[in-house]
Amino acid sequence: MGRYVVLMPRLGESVIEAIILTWLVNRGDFVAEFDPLVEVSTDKVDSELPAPASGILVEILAEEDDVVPVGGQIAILETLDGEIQE
Amino acid sequence: MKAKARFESKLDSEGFVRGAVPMTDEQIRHALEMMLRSRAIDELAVKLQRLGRVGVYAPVHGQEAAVIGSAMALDPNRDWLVPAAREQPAMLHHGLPIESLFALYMGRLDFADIPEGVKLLPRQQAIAAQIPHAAGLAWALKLRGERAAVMVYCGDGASSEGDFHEGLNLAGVMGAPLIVVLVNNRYAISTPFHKQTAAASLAVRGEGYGMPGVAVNGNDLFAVFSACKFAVKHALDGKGPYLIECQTYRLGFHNTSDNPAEYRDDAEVEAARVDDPVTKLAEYCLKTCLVSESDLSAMISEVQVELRAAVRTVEALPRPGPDFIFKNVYANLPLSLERQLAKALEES
Amino acid sequence: MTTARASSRSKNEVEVSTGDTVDMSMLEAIREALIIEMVRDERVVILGMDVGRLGGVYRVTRGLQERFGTDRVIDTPLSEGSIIGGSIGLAVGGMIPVPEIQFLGFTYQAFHQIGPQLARFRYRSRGRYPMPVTIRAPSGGGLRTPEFHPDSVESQFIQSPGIKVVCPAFPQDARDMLSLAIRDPDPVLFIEPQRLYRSLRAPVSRELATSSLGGASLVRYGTDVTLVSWSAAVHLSLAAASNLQELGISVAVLDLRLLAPLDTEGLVEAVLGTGRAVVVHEGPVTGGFGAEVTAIIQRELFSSLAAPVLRVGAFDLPYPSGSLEDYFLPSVTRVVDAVREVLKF
Repeated sequence: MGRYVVLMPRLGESVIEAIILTWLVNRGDFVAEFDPLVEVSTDKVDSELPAPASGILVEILAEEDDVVPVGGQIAILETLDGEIQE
Repeated sequence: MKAKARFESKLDSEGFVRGAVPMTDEQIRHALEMMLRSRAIDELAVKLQRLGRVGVYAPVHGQEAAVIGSAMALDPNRDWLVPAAREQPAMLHHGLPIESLFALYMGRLDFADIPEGVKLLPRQQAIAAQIPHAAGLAWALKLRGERAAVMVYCGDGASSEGDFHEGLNLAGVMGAPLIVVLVNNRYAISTPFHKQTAAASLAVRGEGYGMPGVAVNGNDLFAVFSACKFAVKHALDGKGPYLIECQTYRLGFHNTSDNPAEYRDDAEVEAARVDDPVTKLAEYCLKTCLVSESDLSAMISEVQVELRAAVRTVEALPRPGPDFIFKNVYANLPLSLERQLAKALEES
Repeated sequence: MTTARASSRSKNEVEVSTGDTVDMSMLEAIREALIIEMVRDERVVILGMDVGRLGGVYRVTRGLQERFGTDRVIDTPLSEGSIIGGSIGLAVGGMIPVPEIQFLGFTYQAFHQIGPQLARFRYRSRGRYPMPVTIRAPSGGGLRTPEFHPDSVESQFIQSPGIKVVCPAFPQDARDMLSLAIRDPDPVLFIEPQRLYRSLRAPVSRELATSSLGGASLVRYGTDVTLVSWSAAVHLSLAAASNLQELGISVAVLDLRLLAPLDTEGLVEAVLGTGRAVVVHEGPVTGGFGAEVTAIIQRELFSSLAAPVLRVGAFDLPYPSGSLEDYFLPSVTRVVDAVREVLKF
């Protein structure tokens, strides 16, 4: 078992932050790598962020309507591969 | 909309038999596989971009029939393919390994080389700049007496650039074996076609350069294939260049930094989605029993496995070091650059 | 080489003569290089506006189409963009193109195909597609030509890494460097000083005097100041040096010959010899290549310099009407004044 800390990626060239719109997976549920995880919004583009790895969504660190800077922590996945990843 | 049992080819040019299928069953299945792969690459690449693992990505979404139908009219061992920047499946068909394609988008540039023997030019970021290159290349083949054709891609936006005019004119004057595949997807980022040109069609410009110009339904794989096959033969027979306007629609965004909702209506997109070429071909193959539902599912899963494996292979490759950017500026590194390279290595 | 000249018919062709050298004009030397390379390698093709049937607006390529045929000396449509862009494609297709842009000032019409495309093609393709393309273009004032025809805009290509910029000032160099440029796997912009096409004659060796493009060349020895120059301005510098000699000032003249890649060692050595430098070029001073030369000299020789480096060039104006160009272009007086100023330190 490993912990994968999901970070807010940079969604556009000049984008510095994004708003969490809707979590598409419930806490405790399994999500497969690349499946939709959360909807976020920037002033350039609204986007669906995929899960960076397969695992169980154990913690949500940014709630809906929160503004998160690029690189900020938004969730933790429990993965099967035994390594701590960020 | 009811899928037609027989895939009708509606063409505005002479010499094409309406309704007949110009591809073998094997070719059609291969085209379907390439379309599914292209669509899957688009979806995966966009996800990887959202995860910060791929840089800016421009999907082929909506243009697959135009890009694949045309590429299939070439012989990769004989003919050259000159892309713009939205021809991923054509590049793969012409011999670029899938890992090289992902390496290009994922910054592993020392693994993104076009292999020796693959007659493909690099993608071009300066709109239309590739057109005079392709014209010159086709001209060289003619001067050398080589029986081969060059296919160059461009879009509706490119047709407004000077290089389009200058390149086609040169090809016309020199009688070069050049096929210009103009993929008119009706948008140049946010600029709709009617703001790009006052002309009703771009195919008519062919006459202005002394070459035939035809417009085809770019969502009709068979129509595109037929038109391009004809143009390739025309070129190989020494009759000179050909302009083929493939009329289609950009179903996806311009690229991953783009938000089409800001400049076009969902209603327009949904109306165009009815003609989605990948859906159309899949339906045709099912209706004519070229593939079964389970064949189709298998194709889709196999493509996913192939792509995920390619991504893992590429992501495991090391990123290039600073010395990489100093290679191939000239045949040999000049003294001044040797000093700068030393500085770059020192800094890293 | 003997065969080439023996079979010539045109009145502008060079007479066969005995001895190791032949007297040639700048133009004849350039034509000689083209003939040598066209004979040497059948992949070499000359293309451009009016180069074939007419033999070029200056007649540099006169006689070549008759000799080599219309498939090797080719008249193109009036389109600088496709002359250069097409040359890129010709090179991919295995030819060795020698495109002519009728005047360097018209490279503006092909600018987007030179730096961003031709110079970068090897780089973009990671070595898969080298560009053995040699662009020939005449430039320089003194002939009262119309707008754009005399523009010395060579500095605008220096910020396009990947292309070599070659500026011969003498017939021997013109002949040798053009030959070598055509053989070079890298793209070359070969700038021909049009003022000197017919007016400058000099002995040129029968064989190539060198096997590499080489570097800067000290064309006049001196001890007080070094004039650093290229192209037609080398002769301006030599004229100024003669004048200064009469005033008892000993002036060295360095002909850079290539602007990219620049022979920094040769430059440093030549300036070290005097401790004072004046850079002389025809293009406008601000942003001209002289600025780069000056920066290099002060960086490499700061503690050895007896004076700041000065530059002499044209004024920072659009090139005026041909009848007024003498006000605009650097003159012997301007060079002499700069030398005297540098000697005040």
